[in-house]
Amino acid sequence: MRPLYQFAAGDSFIHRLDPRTKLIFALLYMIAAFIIPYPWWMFLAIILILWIGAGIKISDYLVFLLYMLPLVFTLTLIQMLIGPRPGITIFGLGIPFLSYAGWLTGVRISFRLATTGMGFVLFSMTTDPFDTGMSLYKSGLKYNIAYMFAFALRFFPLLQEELFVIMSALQARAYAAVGSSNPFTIVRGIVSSVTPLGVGALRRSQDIALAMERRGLGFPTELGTTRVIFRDIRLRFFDYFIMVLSALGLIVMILHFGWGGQAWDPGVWIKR
Amino acid sequence: MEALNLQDAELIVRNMRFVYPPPKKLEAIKRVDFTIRHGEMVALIGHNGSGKTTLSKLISGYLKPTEGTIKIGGMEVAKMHPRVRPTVVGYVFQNPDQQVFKDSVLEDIMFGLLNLHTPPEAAEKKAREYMERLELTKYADLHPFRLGKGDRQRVAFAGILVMDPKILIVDEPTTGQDPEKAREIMRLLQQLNRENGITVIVVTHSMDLVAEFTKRIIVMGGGEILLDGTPKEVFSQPEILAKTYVQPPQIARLGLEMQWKDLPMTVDEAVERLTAEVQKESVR
Repeated sequence: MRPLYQFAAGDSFIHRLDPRTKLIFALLYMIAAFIIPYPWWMFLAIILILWIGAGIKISDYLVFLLYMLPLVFTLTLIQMLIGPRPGITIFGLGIPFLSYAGWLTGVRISFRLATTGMGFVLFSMTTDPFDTGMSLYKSGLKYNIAYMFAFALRFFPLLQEELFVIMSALQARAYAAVGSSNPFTIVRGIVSSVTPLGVGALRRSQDIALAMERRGLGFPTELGTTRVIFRDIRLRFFDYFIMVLSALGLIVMILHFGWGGQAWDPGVWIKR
Repeated sequence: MEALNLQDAELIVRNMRFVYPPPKKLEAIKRVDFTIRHGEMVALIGHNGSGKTTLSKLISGYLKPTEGTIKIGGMEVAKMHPRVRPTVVGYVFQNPDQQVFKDSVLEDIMFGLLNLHTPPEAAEKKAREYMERLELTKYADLHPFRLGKGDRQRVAFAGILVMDPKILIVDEPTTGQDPEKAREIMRLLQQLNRENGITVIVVTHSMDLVAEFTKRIIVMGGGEILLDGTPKEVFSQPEILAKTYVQPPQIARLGLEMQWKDLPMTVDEAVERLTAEVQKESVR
């Protein structure tokens, strides 16, 4: 299992797409997840897209899905408790105070959130951070700002690796944050790690900023010269094709569900 | 059910192999067997990626062996309760900044003890004892991040030592320290080993310090143990050491150049040998 959102280098079809294409696709996909009444299909589809199109297996981002479980559970439970009642039947047992409509709403919200997260996973795990920066630069952002975004993306997995070490250091002090299977204990461990993680990140970012200035990152701006680019990115036929196809897909979806699409029941064992 | 015997916390590694889980899938440790007796001071050396940090993490229970067993005091490390493990094997990480969890030196040192449910008065008393011993008393109320790196390193040591581990693993304690501070740290480890009877395992690249302060060296290379013996035995085999890009310390190399069978490990030993050689020559 690699750190979450870390770029997984590869030469797949998705890896070769321009970052702008992937960003637009991911954004449209996320919007679609909020329109479609059965977002679980969108969730499953993006897992398949990552697997078949980019060769990234579910085990590589399983931690993300596991961390979502407490949130999903809480959301669904809250909706079941506060939703309109007629009562539901779970495995043949009638439970009058739980709401069937709330169950449906909770499951939908959960899958929509998970699909949104997976959209980020698709983008970040298949896009080199510096290509992301370059795409922002090409979209008109100042070079140093675009570079900062790119570096922040590269920095994120480093912070996660540092977090793992800090959590191990907590374990060495008998603070059972890592060994625990209790998500609340794990969250408490993460909170305790904030100070060393934050101080480490600040020190490191200060060093990086100084090092970049010493390597002349700001020279072209200061001297008013053109920045020389070694590795460029460009939109190809397939990039345009994917962008148009995604936009068309979203339009069709909006039109279709505008006329009222039917939702599949997300659990035949739970009845009204 | 295995019983934990802390009176004789011998470390026994048998037929142990470790492969990192996917996507890494790297066989970091290829079947190793060794025993470290209670009270030994051992150095674990080897090039970057040789498997020494992985091995030390396996011993301390952060990683579980893919095959084989690691036992301390008769009990498998992987099966120890998370609250018991730090009292059996302590691990001091390389970067002290990753081990600061509280706002004052005193509280940070007490942190582990409180997690072990030690009453606060007893925890404070013990923390102050170790602060005294590690010359940290004057910093008691300061935030650890306001101290210099050497002092922060000592705070990290104190935070682990206060839990009375039987085995102490220290990952590259001398990296980034000036030569005097590095020797100070090694002297402290030696003192803990001699006076408290703690087994000390030092992961390091500093051959001079290893030759001077440890009694046994385990050389790792490509996930295997290439050599295991006293500093004299290990440094007398430069051709094997070269496989893991380790060079014997300067003093030992002098001995190798002079083709002495008994290699010197300290300047004093070398001076003694050279004086003897000169006297022998002058007699001829």
